Amino acid sequence: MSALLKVTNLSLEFCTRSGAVRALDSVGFEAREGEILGLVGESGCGKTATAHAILGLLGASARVTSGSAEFLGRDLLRLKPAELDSIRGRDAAIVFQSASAALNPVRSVGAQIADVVARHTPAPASVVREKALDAMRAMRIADPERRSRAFPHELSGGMRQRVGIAIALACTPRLLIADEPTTGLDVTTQAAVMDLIHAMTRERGLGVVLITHDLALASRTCDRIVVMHAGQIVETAPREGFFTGPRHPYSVGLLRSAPANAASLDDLKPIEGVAPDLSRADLPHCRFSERCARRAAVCDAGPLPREAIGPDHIVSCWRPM
Amino acid sequence: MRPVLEASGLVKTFRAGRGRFHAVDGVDISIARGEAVGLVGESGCGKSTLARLLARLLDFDRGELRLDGASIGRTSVGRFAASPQRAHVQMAFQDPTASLNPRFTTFEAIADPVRVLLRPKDRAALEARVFAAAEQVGLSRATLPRFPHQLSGGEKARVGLARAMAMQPKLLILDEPTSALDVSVQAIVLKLLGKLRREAGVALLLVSHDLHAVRLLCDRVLVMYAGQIVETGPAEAVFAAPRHPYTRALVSAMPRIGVRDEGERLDGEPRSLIDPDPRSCRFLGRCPIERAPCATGPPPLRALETGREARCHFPLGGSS
Amino acid sequence: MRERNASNLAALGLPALLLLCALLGPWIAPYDPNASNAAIALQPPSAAHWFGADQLGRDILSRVIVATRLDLVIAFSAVALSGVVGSVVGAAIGYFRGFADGAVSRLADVLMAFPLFALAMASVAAFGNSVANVIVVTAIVNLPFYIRLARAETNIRRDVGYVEAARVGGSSHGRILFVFLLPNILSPLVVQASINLGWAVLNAAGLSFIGLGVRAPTPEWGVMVSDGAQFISSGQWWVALFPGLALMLAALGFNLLGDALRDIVDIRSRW
Repeated sequence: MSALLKVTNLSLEFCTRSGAVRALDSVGFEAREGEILGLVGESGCGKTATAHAILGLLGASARVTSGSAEFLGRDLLRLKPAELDSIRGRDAAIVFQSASAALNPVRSVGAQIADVVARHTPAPASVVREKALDAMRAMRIADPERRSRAFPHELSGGMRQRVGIAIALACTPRLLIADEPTTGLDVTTQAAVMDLIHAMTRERGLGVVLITHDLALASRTCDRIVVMHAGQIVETAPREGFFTGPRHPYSVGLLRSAPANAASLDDLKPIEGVAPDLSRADLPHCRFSERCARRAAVCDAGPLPREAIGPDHIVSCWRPM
Repeated sequence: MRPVLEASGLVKTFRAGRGRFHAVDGVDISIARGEAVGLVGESGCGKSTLARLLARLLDFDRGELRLDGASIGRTSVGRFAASPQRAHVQMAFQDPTASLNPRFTTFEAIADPVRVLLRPKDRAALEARVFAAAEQVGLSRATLPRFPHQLSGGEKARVGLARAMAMQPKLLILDEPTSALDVSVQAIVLKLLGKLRREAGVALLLVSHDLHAVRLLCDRVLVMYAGQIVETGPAEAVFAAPRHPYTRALVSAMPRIGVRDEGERLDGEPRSLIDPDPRSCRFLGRCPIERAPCATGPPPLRALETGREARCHFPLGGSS
Repeated sequence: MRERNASNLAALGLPALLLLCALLGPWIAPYDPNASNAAIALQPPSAAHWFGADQLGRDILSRVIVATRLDLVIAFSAVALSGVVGSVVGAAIGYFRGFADGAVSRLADVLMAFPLFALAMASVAAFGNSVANVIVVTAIVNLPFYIRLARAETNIRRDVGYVEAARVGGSSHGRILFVFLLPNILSPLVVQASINLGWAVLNAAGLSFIGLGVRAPTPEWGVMVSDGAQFISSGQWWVALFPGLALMLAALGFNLLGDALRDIVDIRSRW
């Protein structure tokens, strides 16, 4: 499977009144065709900032200090806004966490899907409408003709999320970034939505970056896992390898503290400490070191290593488990 | 031993257009002293409404509610605040940020209900209670003079628990205690709840859509769908071998680490609860098992074997 | 950044200046505001009389300064009255809802539609001219804004987490309203009130201008403008202009104060 999106050495700063917040530090990963990559981490670890950086959705206070994001032969971070505009929605799409907030409350959902189609593939109105209905059918939305005339507030949360994904996939992009697409949805709806994304990946060779804090969700659908902590990538592994043999102390900590993984309450082992304040000037090379039980002198020696410990399995740790 | 909470035939409806929305329709619950019971279901199934009925934050239309034998359903919500029973049933809320008054320090947040309900005779007695509650949930003294915006998510969650536990209640109702929390904090809160239960002997009613939290913490689980309880039983047993088709769909949708299952998927949405059809099962239309009796007579909640009940004409794994 | 500083400066400076005049009026006024001196009647602004003299030879600057106290007292009283009553009533109906909510809201709608001057005329006819009248009439006409704002802000908070926690913690409805809800809706109300002050000043002056409020010879901006209006066509513009300017600065100052407060409140706001 070829690399669709290759992020290399991406570092990002936010300029705030209390100083520079070094949100991302040398982030690098690869999203491949026909594969779902899980970008996993707790809130504040920088996963959304990464997604926004890639698609040029960052605010004025953000500064990319290094790195590249290669997509279809071009570096997305160096494109002009107009060029990014033509890629966004057509070749690369994003689904946001609360679809309700991303939908226009005064336009019917069908019209909103059609808007995206018309923007990127000019065609007569009837063709555009048909494509919008196709997009809804692909989302297994029953009775699409009637549903397309509905307004967002008339639909349930799960249905709105499907519409959000339909909008993202309306122009058959090559890459989909899904930022917490199922948070807040019921377990049964969550499963249905993930199934859809999974089906799209298989049927269309779509490459997906799934951003989530839910390890169990990631374990269910992702082919590969990338773990982030405080703006750094700490481990990259194929699904099987990750859940049977995580090597970074943080990954191990995450698995041990996940209720889904515990057989009993005593089995649950929360991770000590909190992630460091990223506006500090004295951030250590390894931002997990202050919470790590395995910390040693070597950990403060220099920038994080990238050690390949198995096929496609990379750990950024001087003392992996 | 008398159950600490006993509810029978609880009904709560809301006006909806010309009809009535049946949020809770004929629910019976019994919680024993020190027991941890889970209440699970999809959003809109009525579990939050039911939690508020049991916590006496809402008045119900019909039914009986007894706390340690004493009837508490007769007085209205407003008057119940002054009842001596108020302190015995407490609640912790879902969003840790919204559940704290932005103008109260942590100390004041915990002290307020103590002052109102327990009327300590002097400042020293009040402080003793507040400090004890803070220690019980692992809050350091340093957090007491701080305001909510100066606390982390985990600390705020602990304040909510301290505030409830300061009353030394017999029953603690928890409304989605982990859903608004970061993953690493969830584990801490779950373990804390386990500890509170062990050390204080308080009974817990855990309302949650996080089935793993319920599995870890609860002895028994009640599954709710469309305003009704559709299955009850010991937590492990219900998750391992569900008897109601909805429960099975729920369990198979639970994400589990390392298990990449393609289980049965539940399609569609729950039917409208506005004046629901009294003749058919409410799961009809989404249920994989659909036979004639399902449309002509609503199934009662029936005991299957000891400790297990299901509301289905054709429960799984057994004879109907 | 610089524009914000300039307007913040004005936002604090103007009301501060007004407050100073109100507090120290009689002591900082160069002349006795009521002392008439036929010799200098209708003299234009000069070194001795910065704002000139009116038709009775009284120093306009002194009168403008001393009038500040009366105008501010009227404005603050009216706003305080309508603010307190309106907030409590609005919060109560926002919390309890039900029949009272519908009734009071309709009443507030009627009040909003009521023209200020019609109400003032009726009030004057019934109770005569007085400062108290002006205060009460202005307060009544202002009520609906506070009722609506308090009602809306209370409505969105009445079932929020900490209110439910207070209910479970044994607080009665009344205690929840006064201890938990009203303090938390204070910020938007204060912003509304400070913007209202500018409007109240203009209202009071307007009523006095048409003779329904304060009467001459009491120094009050509206009355002074009314007195001075007759001299504009004959070229003695200063008699009406300076009190008018004072009115304008007062309204501007309070509006800017309200804007600045709103900026501060919004940043730190929500729940």
